[in-house]
Amino acid sequence: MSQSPNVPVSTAHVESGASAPPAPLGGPLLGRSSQRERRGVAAIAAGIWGLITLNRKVMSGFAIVGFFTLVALLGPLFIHQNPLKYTSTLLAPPSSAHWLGTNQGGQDVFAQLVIGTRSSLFWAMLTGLIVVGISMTIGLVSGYVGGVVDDALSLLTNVFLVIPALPLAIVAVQLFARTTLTIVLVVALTNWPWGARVLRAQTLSMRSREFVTAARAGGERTVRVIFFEIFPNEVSIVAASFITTTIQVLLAVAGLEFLGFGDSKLVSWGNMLYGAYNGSALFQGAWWWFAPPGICIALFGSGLALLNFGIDEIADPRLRPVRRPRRLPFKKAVA
Amino acid sequence: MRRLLRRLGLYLLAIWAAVTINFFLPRLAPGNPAEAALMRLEQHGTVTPATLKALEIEFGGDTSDPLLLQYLKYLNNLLHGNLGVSTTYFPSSVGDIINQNIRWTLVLLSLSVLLSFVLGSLIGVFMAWRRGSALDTILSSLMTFLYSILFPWLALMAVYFLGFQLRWFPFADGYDTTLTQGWNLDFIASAAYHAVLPALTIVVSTIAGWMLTMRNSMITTLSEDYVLMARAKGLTSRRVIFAYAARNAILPSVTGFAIALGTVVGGQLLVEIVFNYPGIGFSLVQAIQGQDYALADGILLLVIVATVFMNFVVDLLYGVLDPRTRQERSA
Amino acid sequence: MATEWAGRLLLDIQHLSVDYGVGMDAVHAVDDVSLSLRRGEVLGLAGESGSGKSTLAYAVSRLLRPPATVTGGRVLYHSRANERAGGENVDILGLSEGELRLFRWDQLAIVFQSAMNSLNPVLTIGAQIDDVLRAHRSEMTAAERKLRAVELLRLVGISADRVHSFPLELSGGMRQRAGIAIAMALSPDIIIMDEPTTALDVVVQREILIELLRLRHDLELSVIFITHDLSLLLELADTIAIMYAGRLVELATRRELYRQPRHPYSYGLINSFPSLRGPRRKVTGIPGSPPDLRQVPSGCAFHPRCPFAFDVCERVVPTLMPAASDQPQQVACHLYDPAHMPAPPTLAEMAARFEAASAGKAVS
Repeated sequence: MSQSPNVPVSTAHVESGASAPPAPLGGPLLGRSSQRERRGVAAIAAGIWGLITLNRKVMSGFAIVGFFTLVALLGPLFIHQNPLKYTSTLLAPPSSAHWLGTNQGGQDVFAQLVIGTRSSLFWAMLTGLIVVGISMTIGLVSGYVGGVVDDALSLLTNVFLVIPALPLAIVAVQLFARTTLTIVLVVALTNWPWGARVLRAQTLSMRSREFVTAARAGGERTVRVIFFEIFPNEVSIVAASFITTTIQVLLAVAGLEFLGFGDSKLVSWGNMLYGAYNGSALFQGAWWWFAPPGICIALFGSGLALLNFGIDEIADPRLRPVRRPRRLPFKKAVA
Repeated sequence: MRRLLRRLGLYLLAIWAAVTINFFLPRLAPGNPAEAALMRLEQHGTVTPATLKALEIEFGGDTSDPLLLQYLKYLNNLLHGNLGVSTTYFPSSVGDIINQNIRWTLVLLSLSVLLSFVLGSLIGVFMAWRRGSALDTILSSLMTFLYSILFPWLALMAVYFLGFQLRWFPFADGYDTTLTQGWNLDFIASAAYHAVLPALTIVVSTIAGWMLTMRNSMITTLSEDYVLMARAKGLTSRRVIFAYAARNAILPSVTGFAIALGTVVGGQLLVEIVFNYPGIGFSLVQAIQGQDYALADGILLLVIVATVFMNFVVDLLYGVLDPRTRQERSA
Repeated sequence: MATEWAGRLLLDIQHLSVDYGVGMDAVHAVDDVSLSLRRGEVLGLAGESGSGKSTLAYAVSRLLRPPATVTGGRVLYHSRANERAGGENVDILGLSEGELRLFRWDQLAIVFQSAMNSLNPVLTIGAQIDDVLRAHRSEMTAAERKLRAVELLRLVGISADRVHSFPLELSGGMRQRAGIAIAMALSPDIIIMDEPTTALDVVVQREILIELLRLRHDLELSVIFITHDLSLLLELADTIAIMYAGRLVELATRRELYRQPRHPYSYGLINSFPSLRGPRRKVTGIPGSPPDLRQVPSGCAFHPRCPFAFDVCERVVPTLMPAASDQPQQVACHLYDPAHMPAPPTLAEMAARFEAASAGKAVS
């Protein structure tokens, strides 16, 4: 919405898709290849480990995301105090009793941060999944079927592209309950067009490839062609799109919560910022209340972004870091 | 040409659809609009039934009309360029209000977005050219982090450190309110000074996207054969980077940029809230919450038209920049 | 056309080696290759994919991209200016960035394999010629440049109005010819052509080659022509160099090569396609496939596929030497080394051996 426009950072996929099919990231793990014959969870686990350690960026991204996920899953088990409990130590700086100090109401900031991780992550991922689901379906169908259906779906995409998120949010909040689900729906509805566009373009170029013609000549039904022939080749784009979307929706949801549209009873990073802003945290010098949630959002987002760039590098060898042989007399990256 | 006309047609259709949705959207919010309007009017003095009736007709028709009729009357008014009268800022017309506030939004935001795009793309080009160098590695990591920062958070941090603590820049209002508006040097200087912090925040939080996109695109382009040939031709590095590589690498960013410009009109609401900056974003929120339909519709319409218009401009631009798109791609 | 320069040594490649990667895993794409090019000469460089011919060309023009590095050798260029001034010859590999930029295209130009990929899609053909003129001939005015661009296009048979066309608006053959036109822009001494006609149909191929021969005749151009199509070189080139697995295996004039290919590999290549005239014979081809450069066979790289291989071939790498004491033709094969083999095989023997090998292969 008022956040920066969803600039598609993963251009590698769109570019390389035009000239050569992107290495299907899901290749080894999807059914079709002969590796279906490999038995057991061990093989799958080994495969995933192999993918993760393939690339430094993927590793660091995975580490960060993994860390936050662990905190989200297990953190609340270690927090024994109620994050919403008011104490008498108001606006106290970090100390051994309160690791990140307390806020205006004497609530422990650290506890809130940890508890908030769970809801922020959960909603961000969920919204990301919804958005990808919608954009994938519409993008694939639109790109493949073409004709009137394509025109209609493109129209739909353009319309939703243009609907501003904020007024929609205001209305939605007044119409429905003031819950996180409402925000999620608003954010989902306003964010799916981007991915749909990218996927449509990609599907269009895939459609004219020979393997599709072969499948159709063999009599495969449309639905099968879309989901079992074309889609596996676009898995890496969809994965990248999912990650980018998750970052965007994380920021969008946090943004709306910051404006006060969220459920104030829910502890989340965005709501913490809302509280901090309304409590004039900064002007009272209580940086410990205001800074940590923002930093967490940025860090988690960075982790996701690193994952994305790592996937980009795996899919397009040209983007991989250049290891320079030591004896190189000519120094430029391009001779 | 035919292709462009077809796209234009689709865009107009999209505008109509969006306008319709945006017409019905605020009206779906619960609350009795008549009462709200009445309350507000009465703050300005007593209201006669005649005035009320006249006003109703002015800004969108009798609210006791069925919704469909209101809609048709609204469309009719639109086509006549009549956006109605605002109830919040009665008796100013919607057109006037928008006009007054939009200049702030436009100037600040378009310049910020433009700066962000240009600077970001240039740095991206540079990073790709000097790939693997220390600067590239550092900047890449920095950008990855910046990309995920929540804008209002960054804004408030900026306000706190640069404005409040260090007192380097003012952090509220669009200009020094003691000065008179107008084309005088004091005012312009003040406006510029007040714009620094918001602009800086916008640029910093959006630049990462452009940089990273451009860098990736540039790296891919640099490995193309035509860049190799350009080098083989003994052209200067500058020519190779800009006319051969960047010229091709920037194409993916162009779409994003045009769309970004389109959203500028919507007003960076968060900017306006955090920096108390005058603009139409805040007016929009007020309008919807206060059931000032005329104003809300007016602003929303502007936003929609601007975005769709920018999309259309992008299509045109793309056709100019990339001769490959001029050939009809047979799907 | 005979001028004082005709036939003089122009380019002297000495013991050039190019590796991909470093250390233990380095792949030797070009291994100790020495060649020379004279003014007005067409040197054909033949070999299968992966033989190192393109890498060699890129190394000479300093267009290698990491991880490729030059690991040894010199490429001496005898420019007219230098010879007149009595100065030293220039090692292209040692030129500084600035000198290299001036050298490029002015003295040595390249026509890439795929014109579609090597022409900038967003600039017109005219602009891409103008580019080069502006960079190297700053004394020309815009009008002069425009004139030159039109002249160049006409030289290769493209109509003048195409100056304003974008690459995608031209047909494949026209694009390739445009590539040649751009290469000719500064009247260079050397043009390297990397498989310029491979992607084109035979009719267009013929037209381009005729143009090329004409240009070479009119302008005293030296050409290094890289291709896998030996039959083309037999018509076009003065001298032919055959590469295998990064090494030079035979160097001969086209007449010599046609009359009697010495290296078994050359024989196999030439006899892989039938001739229009002459007696009917069995077309044999070469058994096996080119080696993976990461695992080059020991000794002579060709020995696993060679019908003549004997014990030395596996142990010792053959060096390039004259085929016989009275022959200028050079070959890197132990069959012609008097120390290992008293008499080299005759053509008839080669034919017989190859047929036997292919028959044996067919059976097994």
